[in-house]
Amino acid sequence: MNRIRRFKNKGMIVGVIFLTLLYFFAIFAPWVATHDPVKMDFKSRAVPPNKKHLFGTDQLGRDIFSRVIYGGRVSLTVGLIAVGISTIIGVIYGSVSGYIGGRVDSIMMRIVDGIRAFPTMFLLLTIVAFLPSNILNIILVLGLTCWTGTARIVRGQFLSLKEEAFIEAARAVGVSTWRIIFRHLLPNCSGQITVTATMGVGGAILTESALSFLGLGVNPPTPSWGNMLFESQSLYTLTRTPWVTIFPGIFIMITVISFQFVGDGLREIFDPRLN
Amino acid sequence: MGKQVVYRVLQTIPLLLIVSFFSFMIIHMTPGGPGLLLENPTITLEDTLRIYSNLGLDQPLIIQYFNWVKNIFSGNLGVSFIDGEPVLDKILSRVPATLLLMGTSFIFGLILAIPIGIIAAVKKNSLFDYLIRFFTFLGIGIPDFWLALMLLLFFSNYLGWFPTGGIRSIGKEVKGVSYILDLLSHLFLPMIILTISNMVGKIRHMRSSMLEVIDADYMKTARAKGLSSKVIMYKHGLRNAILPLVTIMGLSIPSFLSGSVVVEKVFAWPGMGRMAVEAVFQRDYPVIMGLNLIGAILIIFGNLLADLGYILIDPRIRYE
Repeated sequence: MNRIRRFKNKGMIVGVIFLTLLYFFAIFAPWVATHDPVKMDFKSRAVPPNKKHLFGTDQLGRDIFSRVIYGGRVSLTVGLIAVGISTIIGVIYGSVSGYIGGRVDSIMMRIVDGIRAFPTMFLLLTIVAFLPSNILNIILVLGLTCWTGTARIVRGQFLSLKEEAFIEAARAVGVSTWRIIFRHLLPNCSGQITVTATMGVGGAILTESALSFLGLGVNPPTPSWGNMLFESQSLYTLTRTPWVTIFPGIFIMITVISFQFVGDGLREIFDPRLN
Repeated sequence: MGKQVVYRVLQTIPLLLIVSFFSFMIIHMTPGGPGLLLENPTITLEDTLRIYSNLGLDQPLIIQYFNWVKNIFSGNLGVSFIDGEPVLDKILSRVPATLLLMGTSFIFGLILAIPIGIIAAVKKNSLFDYLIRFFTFLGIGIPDFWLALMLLLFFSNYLGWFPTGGIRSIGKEVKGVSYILDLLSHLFLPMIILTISNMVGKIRHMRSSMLEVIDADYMKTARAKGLSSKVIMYKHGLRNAILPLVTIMGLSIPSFLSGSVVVEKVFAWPGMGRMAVEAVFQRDYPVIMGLNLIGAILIIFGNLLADLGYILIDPRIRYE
């Protein structure tokens, strides 16, 4: 009950509302969008925002509003699945490292340090360069590179929790190792895992958009918020049709901030010490 | 203290080994790695084998790795696949531009973030605090490259205050003061972007560590002794609150390097980040490998310096 009362966090409510709207738009994109997102209309090229084209059109006459709505499908999905993968890897890795402890733990953590020593963007560019760029590969690459944060948190929690009396008690009664991990240790870090994952979705969406912006992410003609900005690299597109650049960026920003708000709110709910 | 310093320095050796191993393996494990690069129907098998043995690609992977590491120690990172230039020279020619960009935004970020974080903590829940919190959320949410495009659109295109890219004006012979002014006008926008994106974390850390310090027992003692609140805040509080920031400074190098990739691309800044993007598009794998390695070494030594600094400043830290 106490947890529900703490749902007063205004930022979190705003975040939840925005995210619900964004996911609603993404799921029902065919009904929300006013035009076909990939259809070119050479009669209305580079039209500024108006009643017919809410966000205007690009150089090829594609409707930006519809592209943003459909782009949300890609960006929001990539973020969620990538974080799903990285959370699973991070939790398993962190649990093993933290539970076993000792020498195994210090070797496993040195490897994590090694991965974290790479500049993320360089590492991503390197891997992406040698894989065909499509949505699946982007999801995999993001999922396989961003798990170290979660692993560290889970490992730290495990190290301190396994010394607690209730774990010792469980062990004394003869509870199996797996049961201790899944029923006693993991539930105690679920709050922190959820918070990290929530904020991670925003981060993954940002990274996907940066890669797609560089032309190494989601391939056209499928619109994603990042690859819609790829064309804006040319000064001509940027200055002649600024609305093409402005709107996808605003949607990325709103999404990432909403995930931050929700993550922050969740942290307050899970960690009463902060209040 | 000497023992701790030695211990901490020794810790970097396994890390460097792991990092070198990773940067080598990533390239060689990925499908479409260097082996496939030379698959070309117009090249005969003989020629392919000859090219492989020239590049040392016919050796077992582990031997290739040791050769590569051996060469690193003599400063040889191989030659670029595209123009045959030594990788190290190629990368070093791009380092000054990146360091200039990173260094200036680092200093600016620090100068702004420390007082802002402190004031936000001292005046907790004031209007200023809320504005700063709003700003930090914006800073996290705005994609670097999009902000770069927006500033480019507004300041360079509409207002015409700054050039749209590059590091100096082309076709103008400038020397002395006007050379520096020219450089600064090119530097300004990319620097602002990196400053903003890296300031956010520092503000948050400064604010939270100051908040923690304010509640500490020694602050209560100081208050009980009847010291003025200014002396308490800035003499007792600030000194302790600023310590964690040293670590954060070391940890901010990776995000600087990552940020530099897109920002340098947008502003055509001739640094390491743009080089990485170019090398990736050209599949120039020795350059990519070299950039990863040098980036990682920068990061490891950044962390090392931060930790050593911490040992020097804070006598409470003890390594066992």
